[in-house]
Amino acid sequence: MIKNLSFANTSYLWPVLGGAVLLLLIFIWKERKSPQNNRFWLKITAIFLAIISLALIALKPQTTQIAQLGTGIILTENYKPKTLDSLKKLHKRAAILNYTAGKSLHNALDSLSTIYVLGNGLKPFDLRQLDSVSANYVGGKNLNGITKLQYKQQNRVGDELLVNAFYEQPGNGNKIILQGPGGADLDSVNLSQGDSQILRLKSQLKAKGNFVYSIVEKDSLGKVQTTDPLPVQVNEKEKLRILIVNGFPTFETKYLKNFLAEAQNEVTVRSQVTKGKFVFENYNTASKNISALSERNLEDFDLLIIDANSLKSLSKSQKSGLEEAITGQGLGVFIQPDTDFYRFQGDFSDFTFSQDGNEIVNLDLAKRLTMNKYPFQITSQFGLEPIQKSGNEIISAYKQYGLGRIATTVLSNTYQLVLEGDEEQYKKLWSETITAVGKKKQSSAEWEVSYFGVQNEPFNFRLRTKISEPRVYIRNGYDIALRQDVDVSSLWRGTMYPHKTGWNSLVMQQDSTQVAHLFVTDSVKWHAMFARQTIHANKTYVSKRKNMDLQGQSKQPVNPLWFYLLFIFGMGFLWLEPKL
Amino acid sequence: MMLSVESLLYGLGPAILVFVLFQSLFIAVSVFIIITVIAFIILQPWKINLPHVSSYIDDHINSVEYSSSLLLAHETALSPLAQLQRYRVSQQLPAQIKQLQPDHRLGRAAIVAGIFLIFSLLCYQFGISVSFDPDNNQIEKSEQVVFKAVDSSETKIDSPVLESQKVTISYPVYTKKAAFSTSKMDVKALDGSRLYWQINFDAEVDSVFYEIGGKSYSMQLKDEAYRYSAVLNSSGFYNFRFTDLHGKSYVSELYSIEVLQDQEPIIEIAGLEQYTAFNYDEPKHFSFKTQISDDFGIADASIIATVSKGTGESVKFREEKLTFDNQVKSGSKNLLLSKKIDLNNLKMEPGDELYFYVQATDFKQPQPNISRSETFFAVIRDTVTYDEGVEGTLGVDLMPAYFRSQRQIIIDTEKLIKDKSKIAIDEFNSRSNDLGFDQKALRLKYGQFTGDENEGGTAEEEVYHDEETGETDDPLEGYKHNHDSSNENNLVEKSEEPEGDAPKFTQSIQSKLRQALNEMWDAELHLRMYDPQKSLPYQYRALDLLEQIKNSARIYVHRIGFDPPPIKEDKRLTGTLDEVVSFRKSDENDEQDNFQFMRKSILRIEQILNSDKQVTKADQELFAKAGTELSALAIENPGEYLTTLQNLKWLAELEKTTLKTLKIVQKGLIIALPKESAEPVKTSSKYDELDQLMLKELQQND
Repeated sequence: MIKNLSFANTSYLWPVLGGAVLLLLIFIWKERKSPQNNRFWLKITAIFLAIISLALIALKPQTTQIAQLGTGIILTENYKPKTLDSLKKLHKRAAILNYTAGKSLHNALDSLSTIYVLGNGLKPFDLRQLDSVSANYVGGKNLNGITKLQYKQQNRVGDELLVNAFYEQPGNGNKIILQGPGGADLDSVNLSQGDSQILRLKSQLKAKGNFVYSIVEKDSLGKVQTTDPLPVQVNEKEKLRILIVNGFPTFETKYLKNFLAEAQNEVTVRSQVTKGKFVFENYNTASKNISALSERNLEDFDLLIIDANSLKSLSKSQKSGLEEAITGQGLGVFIQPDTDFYRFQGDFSDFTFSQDGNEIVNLDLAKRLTMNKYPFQITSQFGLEPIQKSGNEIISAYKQYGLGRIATTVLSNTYQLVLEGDEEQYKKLWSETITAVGKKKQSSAEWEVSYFGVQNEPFNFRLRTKISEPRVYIRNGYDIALRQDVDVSSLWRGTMYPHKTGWNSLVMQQDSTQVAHLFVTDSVKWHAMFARQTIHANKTYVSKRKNMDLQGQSKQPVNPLWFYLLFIFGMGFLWLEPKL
Repeated sequence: MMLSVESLLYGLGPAILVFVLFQSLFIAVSVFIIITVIAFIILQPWKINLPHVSSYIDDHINSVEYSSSLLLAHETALSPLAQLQRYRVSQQLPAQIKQLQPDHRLGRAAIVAGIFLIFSLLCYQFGISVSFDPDNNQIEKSEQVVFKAVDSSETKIDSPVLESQKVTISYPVYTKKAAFSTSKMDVKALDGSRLYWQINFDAEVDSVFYEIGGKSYSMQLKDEAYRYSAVLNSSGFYNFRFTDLHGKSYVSELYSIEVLQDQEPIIEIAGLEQYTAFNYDEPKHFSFKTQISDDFGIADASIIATVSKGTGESVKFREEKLTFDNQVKSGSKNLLLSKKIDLNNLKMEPGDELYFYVQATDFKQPQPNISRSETFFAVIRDTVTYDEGVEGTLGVDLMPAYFRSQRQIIIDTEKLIKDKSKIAIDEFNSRSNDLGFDQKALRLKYGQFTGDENEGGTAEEEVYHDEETGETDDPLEGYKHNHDSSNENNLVEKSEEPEGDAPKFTQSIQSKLRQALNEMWDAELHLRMYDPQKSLPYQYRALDLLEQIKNSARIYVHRIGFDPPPIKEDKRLTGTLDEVVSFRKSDENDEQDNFQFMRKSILRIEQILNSDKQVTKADQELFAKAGTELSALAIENPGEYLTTLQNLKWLAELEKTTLKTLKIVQKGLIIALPKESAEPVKTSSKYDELDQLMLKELQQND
């Protein structure tokens, strides 16, 4: 019995107990003082009972009981009739409930203690309705269609849109097509019979804006089976501000700077002609005078490209300025190596290299290329992020330093690609490297929004911002209440119920440039994928509940009336006793 | 039944033939019906009834015993014998009736139909068809110019309808191609062709325009048709626009113009090696064949030959135009020409080289296409060659600085001969004498090297002092260029060995020099005798010998490598840098996106499609600009983007648009946009307190 007893207000236990003991002591002391000391023990007992009952009223004791109510079966979409039949055989008097998303099941569940969920399951937001019963998830028929989807929703003009999808139960002869806006067929994959198939589709994004691409399934006759929207945001390319510092002019720098300047980046080049004399070149930017590197004048740049020798021979103050710029501002540094660099690196970089004696390397860019390199390779170590690899060999890599990054390469004379006419490969090579190293943009808010919202279903999002008490509203709509994370003060959560299909925008009131675009579909689209998510949510819910409490148990509070009666009895005795 | 099939077959054959010939279903069906009906009337299949059949059976099956008609009669009405006979017949007939073929000529009919069918196939195969169209200008539905009203407001008035359309393409005169007309408005024609458009409307219209590349040209009304003509010089897209009497404007679809270029003549040479060499004693001739072809005819073809004589500095070229052995027929598209070249006819000597190529032109106006073949070589091997050899072992440049003045004396002598008629005889004589003196001075200078006696040297100096005001010590001052003496320091010390031997010259050079001096003697002699004309050959010979000496001396230049002076280490890198300055260079790379309006249009259409917005004026301007961008892109390949361009044009012009048009345009634009090449970009990253903490930890523990 005592095993099953617990208190609802456990947190009051010690103060209440303390108070009760204190009260008891006061009463005992008072009784001892009183002249009429007959029936002392009787009075003490009455006092004890009264105080105990008071304490219990405050603590609200409850007992755990095993509910012995009926069994129910909830039928959801895609259930197997066979499973239902076998369950019916087991539980002859089971109540059968049909589930409709969003409709309350409470009335029906009141009389039930055990529930079997058949089919895809309850929508995640409806699962809390099962909190009062013991739930079992049985599942349903196999899903058919794309159940998992992975792609980048935020892109830039010129990026490759890569769509990876997982197709379950593909039918033979069908075809999955990636269609652009307006229905332009961009890429396609043939499905072949099997349990599952991984699909990869890609296309280059060419125009800025919010677009709805689509994934279309056609049968062998070319008839459209399903069309599912694929929202894609394409942003403008942002240009970098680059400073190139060279001890002497080189071809490598010459071609690199031409490429960067032609790509509309702001490029400043300082190359030394002789002692104390420099050539300053400014492309797409106003003339800047960089006679010495300092934290101040490096503020204007996202990336510093410097040859190893110049880096080594920087003065102490310049070095500390550079270090501040890297760790504090997030400046990226790319070190143009020379042979000595691999043996002695100087202050900034602590890459480790190993000599491999190979002076050429095969690199997989858009096509396989053989390139010149120094006879070294970068050794993998903690904190090293490869940018280009050839097999297991790391060709270029960066390391994080505070907010910034320092990168280098073992490639030499990459400009030969341009001379050989492989300009596209050259561009790709350097774009990868420079994009990886360049300073990252920090925005005042970071949204974590999933791919799709479903019309009239709750949509959860997260917002990371340093702005205190951010307020968020839907454009042309209502405000959304945000909940701050308990541990991380900059993390906020919110839930919205989108009404409008298509693109919706979440805007932060304090900084209206911070907009999250989310695409809302109706529940018919991406059917298999949403079904898989529902199944997953059901399974997780059920397994969590199993661990949380014992099956079919519920806690019943002890009726407080007993304690009141006991208290009145005790008090009544104490009041009546002197009169006897 | 069979007869019906027969008559149908008779009808079918001719009908198919007619259909193939006239390509008209109506005529074919009529023919079919008429012939079938005639065949029916002749064959009369309805005449066949039961008595008819029974008599036919009686005729052909003996065992029936002419009693088959009994089967037709009612059983009860027959006599018992007749009944017996009837029973017999009914027993036997089913067995024998199968052998009996009903009377018909199905085979014949099938053969007739087959013959017609074969005819039809043949006609179809060879494209023989008779058109009954009087002017052969029936516009096919797909080709017809469709006008759409720009204004979307509904009006009760019927809009004018296009009655006929025609474009006449007349190729440039030189192609000798007849002009031809077509109703197809997408034009593909030769560069320089003239195009005449002619369109008629059923009702009067206010004005008609021809629009190309954003420019609009008014079409002239003549003989009830609107006409416009233009000379083709670039590919592009055009459309028509007309305004009716109510001021309503209509535009047509877009049509492409594709310019074809006149091809250059193609020359192929057969039967000849790129390089042919002959010995001097061989017959020096060769022949080859040339095949020349051109798309519109060859205007001319010839052989351009260049003969080179001599080597090195003295090489001379002579160019000649040779004709082929057979006549070039101007205007023919294919020519086979041959040529036999005899090197002797070209006055070639051993050592001479012949370069030649075949050149052909076509008739293209204004500039003909000229094409030329590869260059071929023919060489007569030289009997003597200058070998590179070292004639002398001294590391000294033996070439004296005065050699060139012989050339100057020659030039002066030639000038004197030329001026002879213009000047007085005294003057002529005096100048000749002066030249003689110069020649002598030169000879004496060379004589120093051969060890000649310097006879009369002082006297010459005196002469110089007298005549030339004596302002210089160097007797050759006036006869040499200053740069000639650049190698003075290498010269043999002349003063130290005033006479006698010249040990520093090797034998061969010395003997050559000797010869040269002899020639100079003779040259001087004739000059002194006031006969420069006679002197010239000697001078030339002297020059030639001097050149030879020069050549043999020049070999040293090849053999001696560059020997840099030693570097003084203490002076290295100590130069002053005062004149070296830092400099700045600024450059704006304002390369604009060539397809920005196309990109904007894609986004704008997406917005219009997703919200029920209408196309605004601003959008139309955007689409028009996108159209310009796309047509620039499409000029290379007009066919591919025509639909998109067409629909873009509708979008930019018409007030009302359909979703379908918008989608077609968006789709087309996305496909038309070229692939972007990789560019570095600034990316964004998340960075909050947790990241900050982690980075700090990482740094501390690093």
